Amino acid sequence: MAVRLEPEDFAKYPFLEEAQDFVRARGYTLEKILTSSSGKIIATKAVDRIIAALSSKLRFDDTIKLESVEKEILSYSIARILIVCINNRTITEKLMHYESDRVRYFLHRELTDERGDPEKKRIIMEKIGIAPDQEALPVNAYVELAAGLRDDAWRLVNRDIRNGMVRIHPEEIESIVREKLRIILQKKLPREVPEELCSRVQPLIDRITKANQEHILESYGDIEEGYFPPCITALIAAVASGANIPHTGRFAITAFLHTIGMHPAQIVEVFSRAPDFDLSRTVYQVEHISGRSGTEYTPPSCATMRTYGLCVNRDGWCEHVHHPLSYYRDRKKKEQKKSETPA
Amino acid sequence: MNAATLAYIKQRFSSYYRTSSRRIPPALAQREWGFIFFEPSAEVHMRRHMSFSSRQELTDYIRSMVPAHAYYSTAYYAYPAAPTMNDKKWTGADLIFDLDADHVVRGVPYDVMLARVKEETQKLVGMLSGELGFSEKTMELAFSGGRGYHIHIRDLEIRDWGSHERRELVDYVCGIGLDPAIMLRAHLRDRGWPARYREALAEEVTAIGSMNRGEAMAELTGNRGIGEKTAAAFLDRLPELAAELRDASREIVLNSPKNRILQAVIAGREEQIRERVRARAALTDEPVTTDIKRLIRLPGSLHGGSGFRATPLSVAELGDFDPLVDAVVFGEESMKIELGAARMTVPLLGNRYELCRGVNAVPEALAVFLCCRNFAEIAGGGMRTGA
Repeated sequence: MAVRLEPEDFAKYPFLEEAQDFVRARGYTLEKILTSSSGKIIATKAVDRIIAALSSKLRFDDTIKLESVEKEILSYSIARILIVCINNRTITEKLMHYESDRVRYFLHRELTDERGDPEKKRIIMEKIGIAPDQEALPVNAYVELAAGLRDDAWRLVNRDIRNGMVRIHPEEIESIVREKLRIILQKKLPREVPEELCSRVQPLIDRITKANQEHILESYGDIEEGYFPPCITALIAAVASGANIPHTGRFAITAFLHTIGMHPAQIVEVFSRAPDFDLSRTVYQVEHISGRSGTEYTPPSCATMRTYGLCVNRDGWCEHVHHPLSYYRDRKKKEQKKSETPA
Repeated sequence: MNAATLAYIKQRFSSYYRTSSRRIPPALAQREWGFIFFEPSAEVHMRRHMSFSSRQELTDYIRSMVPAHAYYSTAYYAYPAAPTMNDKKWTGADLIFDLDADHVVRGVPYDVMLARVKEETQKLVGMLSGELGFSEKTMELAFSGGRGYHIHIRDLEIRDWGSHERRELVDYVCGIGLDPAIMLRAHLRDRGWPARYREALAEEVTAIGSMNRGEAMAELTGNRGIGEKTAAAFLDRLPELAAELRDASREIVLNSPKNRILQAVIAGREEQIRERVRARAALTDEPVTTDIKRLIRLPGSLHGGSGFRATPLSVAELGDFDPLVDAVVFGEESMKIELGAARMTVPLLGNRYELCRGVNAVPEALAVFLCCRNFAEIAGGGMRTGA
């Protein structure tokens, strides 16, 4: 008997075309949602989705409650519009991770839950473009996935490749599906949202950016130069000594300091340690990288730092991280904890 | 370059551009163009943020302006002529590999250097087609006119890749980020990086084995936690270990206690192993591939620093290509030049020219090359040379 997807499935998998058709057929329009009182609840749910995505302790478990099918699908769509308005790369990425991980969780439940259906899992996975028993992927398709996966085992250079096909192992399928979906969700984001619409949802946006600020403060806390990763410390030292550091290095310092919550004026101060300090040029660069131009940049990962020859003075903490930001966050957390423990 | 030389070179370039054609990239109207012109001042200035809507428009521009260098963007833009990168609206980019002598070999004569870079290019083509599955037919190659080669790949599915995706490919061909523990697991077949890495490691342990016993013991016991006994046992079974390493289907569990010494060797001899890995990699210039907004030299244009033609090539043509013959577009008519250097030997058009400081009579092709490289100025013509 052929398995059919039910409306209840659309609440779990709101990215499906069928789910979008489902709400469209019920006459929901953006205008209605933004003006009606029931729409307010949906908008709130959309904000909640994004705020949940910002939390680093994101976990899906059996306590997750699905609300009405319409509300799940519509809040999913509104959340996507909101993040396009916000145009902050970190927030966007976090929402994409959140949504794909949510789908991964429900796919898993199709196997473990008594009301689940493995056949549905297969159908959804095929819509995502990965078969449950996929054994290899073409290099191009693989690279798109691997680029977003951190572990060294995913690097193309560490894979078995034969005639343009990359071998994958059964235990890797789940991660691959999640990553593939994340990319699909990202690609299908609306390219632009009319400014007029964005300004109408400004109060919602304000709530999200405020939550994001709080989140940054929470995860990085006060700025402590002593816990900076060696690569960033070396770059700052190079600036101070007047060495001519490459653009990639300036970019890394600025994006790093910006992400841990340093104010542009303080970042400019770091560069002012250079003997050939040029105020207006530095201000321009710093403001550009920290988002004045509309795009916020995230600092380069360890892999990128290596490629640019900026990964230097590696120490024990580096072994456990793939990103200078994780180095800083982890080391700060652990060492501060240590110092708080009474001797 | 003095005024007379400048006028001469520009006149030679102009005559080339009147009769020759270029390999115009697809989606011409979406490319940004940049040019450097012959100018008396030493300061290099690029005129960029230009765009052309048709081949004729581009050809007319090149013929009338006679640039010293012509470049186009590997990227596709909605507004290629917009004055800032942000306003151009990036929509994709070709995949580029740049093999430059700087990254491959140093301190050898020009012809030897070019031959080495060509080898490296062939190695890269082999990896891209044989391992990664790119079709040789879709690869457009070019001799850069200077010290290397470019590979252009325009498969549609990779056009919108960002730097991260491109880095996966460039790290693969350069052998960057190899994880020893993964390489030493059992692999299906004897090719690709597991085989290359294991061969490199086998070579390194064999090198330790060929030191004299005392030296080898010192090398091994220099690692923390490696005692005399472990080191001696390791040296005794080196040939066996090398054979195991060379068989990629053999599983070696690197973090097992019995392989602690191998782990120590891998950590302690990191630099040496890295060199052996590099010898097996295709040493392309990494940032060029990961930069998605780069300008690249137009194949079929002349390189103002050598006078050679940036020569469009197919994979099939690469084997027989000799840049010092096939990228030379000027003739054998005799010209007088004044050489600045005390003496130099230049291989060109199948000959070796021995030149000394002062005025030399050379074929036009060599005159253009020496003037473009700033090794010489034009002498004679209507002017007295004082000789």
